[in-house]
Amino acid sequence: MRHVDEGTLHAYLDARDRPAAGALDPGRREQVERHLAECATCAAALADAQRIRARAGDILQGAGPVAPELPAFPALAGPAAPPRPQRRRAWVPLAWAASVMLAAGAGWMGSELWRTEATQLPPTESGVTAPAPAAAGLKRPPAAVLDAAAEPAGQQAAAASPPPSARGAAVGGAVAAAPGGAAEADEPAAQEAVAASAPAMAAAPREQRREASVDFRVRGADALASGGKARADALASNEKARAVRAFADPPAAAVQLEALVVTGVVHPYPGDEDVAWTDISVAEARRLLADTLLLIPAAEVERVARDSAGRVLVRQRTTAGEIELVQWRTPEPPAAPGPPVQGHAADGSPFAVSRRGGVTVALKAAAGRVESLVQQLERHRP
Amino acid sequence: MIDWAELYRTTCADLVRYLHRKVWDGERARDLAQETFARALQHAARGREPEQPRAWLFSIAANLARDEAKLVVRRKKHLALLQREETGRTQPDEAERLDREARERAARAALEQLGERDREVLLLWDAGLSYPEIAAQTGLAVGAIGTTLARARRRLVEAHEALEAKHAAR
Repeated sequence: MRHVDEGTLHAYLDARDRPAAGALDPGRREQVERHLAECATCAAALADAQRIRARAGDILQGAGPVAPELPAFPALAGPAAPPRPQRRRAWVPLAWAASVMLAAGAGWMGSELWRTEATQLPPTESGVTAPAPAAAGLKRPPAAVLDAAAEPAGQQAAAASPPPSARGAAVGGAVAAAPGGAAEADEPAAQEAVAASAPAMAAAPREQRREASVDFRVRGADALASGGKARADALASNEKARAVRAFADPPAAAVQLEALVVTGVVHPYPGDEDVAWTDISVAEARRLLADTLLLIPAAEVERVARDSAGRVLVRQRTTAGEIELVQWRTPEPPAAPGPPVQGHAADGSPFAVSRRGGVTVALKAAAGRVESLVQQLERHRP
Repeated sequence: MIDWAELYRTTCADLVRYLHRKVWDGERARDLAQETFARALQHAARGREPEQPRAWLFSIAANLARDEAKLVVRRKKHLALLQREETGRTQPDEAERLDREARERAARAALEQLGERDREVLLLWDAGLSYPEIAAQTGLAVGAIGTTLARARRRLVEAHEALEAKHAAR
């Protein structure tokens, strides 16, 4: 037999590494192996090929993402018009079954929850519990669902500047994330919990016009596997921002909305709201926040106030301008906190929201200072 | 019927990696991976399911990445802000981060020295596709994939070593 060409050597090695990849059919493999046993030249060529493969692999390794966390499942884009019952029914269950199973199987990276102009989803609907997971490959332990108002948290900050866009969407329940037990050991899914926040964050009647895409995460995919159908209600009118609720039909095989994740431009700065702020003392502010009151060091405190929901507003002044923080208690998230969320307040100032250690802080300051201040906060918080 | 959950779990990380080598932006790669699945689902919902789902996903991703180049300008002004936040949070060590960035730059430069088809085949294999899947997506014959990979890998290593030599010489 003639010597083995380089391409076949590589295919042979690829077939050895990944037998199911169809790199070399078994007959040819045997031929090559027999030849390699007898031919020193080709054996050396094989070693050379392996060296090159390994080196190329190393180089490519350096060209990848650092922490390849699985992204949250993407929203289904689609027409915002009310569904025509006939066609929609056929379309939605298929897609939703798929999407729901996807979401349940995937980890998710972070969440920003919409504050909405519409009414809150009634607690009962998102509170339906799914039966213990039984679907193949989706072995999630049931997670408790905290149903409450939306709350700003974690991750993907705005890609677009705040132009007018989506109408606010109604937000489904919050969640406590289940540990990532479903994934295989090497799946680097990052889990984040979204905790319920002060109810004041919820139903502001003001319309939120932001551009965003909505992700969601649903448990109970086994319900679908067992034949339940999923149905989605689109609650947002904007095609890009879409809050969805999935139920199974019949209710016995219910899926539960675990989280509503909005990526894109963040919700508005809480200090912008038309809330009545009552001045209080620093001591009382500390009490409200269980001694975790955050103040920017070396900045004169101009005002400390609270609203009816127990949030604390602090305004401080520095030579570089005004800094405002709104802080409130949030239930302790079980998982690691996410990176700060950013946005622009009504007066155009940038703000960032950071959540850790049971307190959420929204910080507004002159451009350029926000990031460094938030980083300071992040470092010094419990 | 395609098991989307399984497909997502097994393919998503690979898609992100593949996309990363196209757009060279971690955040964007993740976004595009999400969008790939969204589009794939929409297609599937209309009853069009492909024979080779994974290769099909990668071809969707490749198209998105191609279109991505046109959107780069819009993103740039926010990139600085986001990256500063991101790096502040995710990098454990400054030295490590710099090292990683240098390695990525070198890898990227080396990859760019390959012909487009060679590069594509290499990235797809690295993303976990099989020879038949790579063939389906690139239009090559299955029998030619081995040769293409051999050439691509050799050229990658050579380009990388040439770049390292240039660096050392400075």
